[in-house]
Amino acid sequence: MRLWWEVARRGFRRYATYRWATVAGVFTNSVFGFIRVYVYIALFAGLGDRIGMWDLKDTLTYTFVSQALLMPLYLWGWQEIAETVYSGQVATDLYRPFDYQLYWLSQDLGRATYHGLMRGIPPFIVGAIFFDLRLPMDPITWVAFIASFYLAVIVSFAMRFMVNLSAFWILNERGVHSIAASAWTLLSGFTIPIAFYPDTLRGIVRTLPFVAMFELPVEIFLEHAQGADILATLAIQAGWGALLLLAGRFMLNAGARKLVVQGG
Amino acid sequence: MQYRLSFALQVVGTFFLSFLDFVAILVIFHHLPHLAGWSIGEIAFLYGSAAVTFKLSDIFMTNMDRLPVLIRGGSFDQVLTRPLGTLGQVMTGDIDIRHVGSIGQGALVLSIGISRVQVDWSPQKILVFASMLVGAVLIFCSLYVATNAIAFWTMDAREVANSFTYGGNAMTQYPLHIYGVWMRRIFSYVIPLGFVNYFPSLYLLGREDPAGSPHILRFVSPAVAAGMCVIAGTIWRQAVRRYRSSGS
Repeated sequence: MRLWWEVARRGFRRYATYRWATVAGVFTNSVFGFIRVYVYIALFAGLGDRIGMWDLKDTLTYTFVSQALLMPLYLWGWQEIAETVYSGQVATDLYRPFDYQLYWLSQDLGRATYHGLMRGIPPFIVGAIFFDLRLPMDPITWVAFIASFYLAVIVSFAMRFMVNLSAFWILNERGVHSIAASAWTLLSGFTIPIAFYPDTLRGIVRTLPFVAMFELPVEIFLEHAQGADILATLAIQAGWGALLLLAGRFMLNAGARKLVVQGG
Repeated sequence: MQYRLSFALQVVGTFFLSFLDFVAILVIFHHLPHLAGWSIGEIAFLYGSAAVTFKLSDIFMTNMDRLPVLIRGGSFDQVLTRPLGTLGQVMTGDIDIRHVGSIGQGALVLSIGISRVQVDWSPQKILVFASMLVGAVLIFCSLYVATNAIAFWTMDAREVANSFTYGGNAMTQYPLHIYGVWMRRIFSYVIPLGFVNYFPSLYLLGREDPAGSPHILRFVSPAVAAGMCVIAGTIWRQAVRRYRSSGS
């Protein structure tokens, strides 16, 4: 356990070195928040009503919460494991006397903590200065949101882990990653809330694991899920996280077997 | 072009993936017939013209992503020693034509938009339309050059460039009048993204600007684009002057 804690701390510190990148990133995340927000303002101005449980204030809050979650969930451009597969480094990494998947997961949780604090909270504050956002008053909501945040990171990590491992079989992991990332942003509720989809489509998308990444944490933040529903939401996220990590483990074993064959 | 099948798959892949981007607009119009007074055909016209021109400039500027690598590794030395313009060399270092898939998607959405809006195509309108597309490519390319030049000052802050390029693409998918007052001013007079498609489209689609912008703005996109090229070129030259090669 101490080992994983240490790996997570290093993941955190590794990203903390790039200060100007953080400032530039906060600026960019905020700018995109502003661009997205006005589309929803125009939508609700024409609608004059809620969409399901969502009113304008909820939607503006969603926009900046989802901008805040963007870096912690890291859907684009994380190819570290794939790179070790292509360079052959993975062979030595797999020999190390600790669990390969847990090592990367701990590293990623440390990274997500840094990104949550430094790339997540500032754009939300910028948004809250310029727009009327909803801030949960109930401390239970905050506790649940933090739990939901880390579960979302685990789900995102488990998916990225598998896409990276596709490098064992496919030479163009980057291509797989960009296709996956497009699907993730749309089906997770980042592009537009899943709650705004037509009924049947919404029903289908909600049964998929992607909603564990943006839609469900946002529902907790907006207090659309309350009481027992909070626990149910967290359970769904945890269930998907466990299932996807397990699938990643099988994939790792299959890939490692292939690696031995190639190594002769 | 060595790998024909892989290339074909990527073109087809980006063609379909680009439509995911359009889903947000379809979902919005599932709830209401007009967004800020504009029909889905008119929004498709804006989205399509932004997508085609942005992806086209994206193709020319693919290699800008590698600029920090060139600078940090000192490879920019080679660029300077050749008797050719530095900007042209960086641009042509790598042209990624796999994006033709997403240009195709943009063109399709644009033609759907054109077929759904009633425009009587007089010679003047065709001229404004053509100059709008050319001007938009030039404005997007200028933004790429001007904002990526920041890499000569600081390596880490280059994500700022994305707010202007990708952000500019996102912003021009919707009519300018949906944005707040000060954002409209910035996008009209400071970072002239309004001239990418909004102002010429007001003329082409026969719409009024609810924010009451001057009528003349509809026809000055080519001049704005030319001005942007000059500014971007100047920034680039200033930036290159700061280049000191890599250490040791």
